[in-house]
Amino acid sequence: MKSRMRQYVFAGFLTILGGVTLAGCGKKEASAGGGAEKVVVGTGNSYEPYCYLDDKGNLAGYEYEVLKAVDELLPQYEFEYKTSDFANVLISLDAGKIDIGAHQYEWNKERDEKYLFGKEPYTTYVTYLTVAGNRDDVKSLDDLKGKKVKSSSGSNSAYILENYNKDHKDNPIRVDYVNNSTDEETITGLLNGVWDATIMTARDVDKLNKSYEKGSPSIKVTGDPVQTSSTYFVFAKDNTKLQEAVDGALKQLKENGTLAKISVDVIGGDYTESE
Amino acid sequence: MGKLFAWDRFYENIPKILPYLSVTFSIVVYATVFGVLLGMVIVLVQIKKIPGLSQLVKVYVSFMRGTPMLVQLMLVYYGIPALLDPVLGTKINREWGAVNFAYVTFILNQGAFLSAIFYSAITSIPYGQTEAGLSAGLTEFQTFYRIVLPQMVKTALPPFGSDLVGLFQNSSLVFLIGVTDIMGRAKTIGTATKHVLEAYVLVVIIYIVISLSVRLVFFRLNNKMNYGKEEIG
Repeated sequence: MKSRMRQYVFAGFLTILGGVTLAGCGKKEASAGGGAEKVVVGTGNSYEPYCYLDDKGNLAGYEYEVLKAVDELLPQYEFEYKTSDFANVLISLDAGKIDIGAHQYEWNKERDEKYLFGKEPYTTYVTYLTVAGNRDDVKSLDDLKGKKVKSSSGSNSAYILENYNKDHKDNPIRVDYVNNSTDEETITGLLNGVWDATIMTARDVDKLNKSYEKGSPSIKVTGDPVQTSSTYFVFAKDNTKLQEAVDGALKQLKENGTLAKISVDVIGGDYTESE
Repeated sequence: MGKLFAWDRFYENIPKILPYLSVTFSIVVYATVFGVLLGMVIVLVQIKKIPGLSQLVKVYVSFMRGTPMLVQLMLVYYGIPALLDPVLGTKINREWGAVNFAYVTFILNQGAFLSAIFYSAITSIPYGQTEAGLSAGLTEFQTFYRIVLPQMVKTALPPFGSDLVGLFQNSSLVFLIGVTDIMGRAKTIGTATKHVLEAYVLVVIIYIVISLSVRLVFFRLNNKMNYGKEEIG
């Protein structure tokens, strides 16, 4: 009798389990419908103030605000956001999981061969060598031969460093690929000498210096810009239709001043045209 | 640069991180429940020595046990849709959230690990007992259910417990495909507030509490199963 009971309990458990699974699948199918075409935006989750998670764990930042404004101008599309770490955004674009990559992407040749870049830049991106505040020995990439520089795989700074190393095989810069690091790790590493330098925008350096208590040693930009470029949204190679729509909307946002306003609100300055 | 660790930031983080325990738990629950089912199927294939299938299962188990969890996660996240979508005409690549891929990876992984635990537990019971059961007129199912299973559970329980502890820790990898669990939330708090150490310390404490509780539960269960024998410890 007792074992019969147990069998019933087990069978009941299996039924509930199956029901839950089916219910889960049904829900997903139901949410797939709707009028406007769904566009999945892939962005990062740890680059404040461009893309990060706010107090409540929701996506926030400049990329999100700009894309929200773009989405409002494009009734035929409905944007949905997927976050992952930086290195995975472009891989997701490769795999067709997302339609737009948004993570302060600078144009470079290597990326251009694989992806379709927007024509309309939405932020300037001027990068400098960045070192600990008390160091004066680094002025250009040449001063970093044989030294350790922090970068992350798939980033434009890694591309710059790798290109430099191609021409200087005798004594290359030692590139340290640190993915998914936090700002605190970056600043600590630069200050205690784990890395001799890294490549950053001046506004990111200001942000980092402001975030930690004043009066203590900080980091600084040094020398001339390593590269002066802008950032674009990135699309799959054949997705010209979406790219043109987004570019058109970006142009409107620029002309009516919305983009500049978002930049001032979120980043703390107008970085949409020039620095 | 300011204080590396401040208690007020630590306390502020508690309500921000704790809700994400549900993500960690849901991964563990799905992986354990379906992993047990998958593990049982694998063991059945191995014991019945179904030709073709049992060799396949052997390769599968050794792959799952011999490659890093992170690689499996990436393979499932990018590979499964690439394999299935063109064949079945589905769109799981776009329509599944990252967390579903995390479930699938952990179920596949746990299935393999648990099958190894179950297999060794079953084979630890002398085959003579099954023969005795069969000759006494019990059916094959009855022999398994009444004679092998109760003994097998006792053998399988301790490794099952330590596997569960490991599963909790492994689940922290899902952040890399964009699922925010407690570890991922700690990291994003670090980005947003520029202070990450307090969040990490909190996560460490959460994992220790979980692991101690799981071990305590299994310790109790174990002693309960030692019918009549002396309690350990």
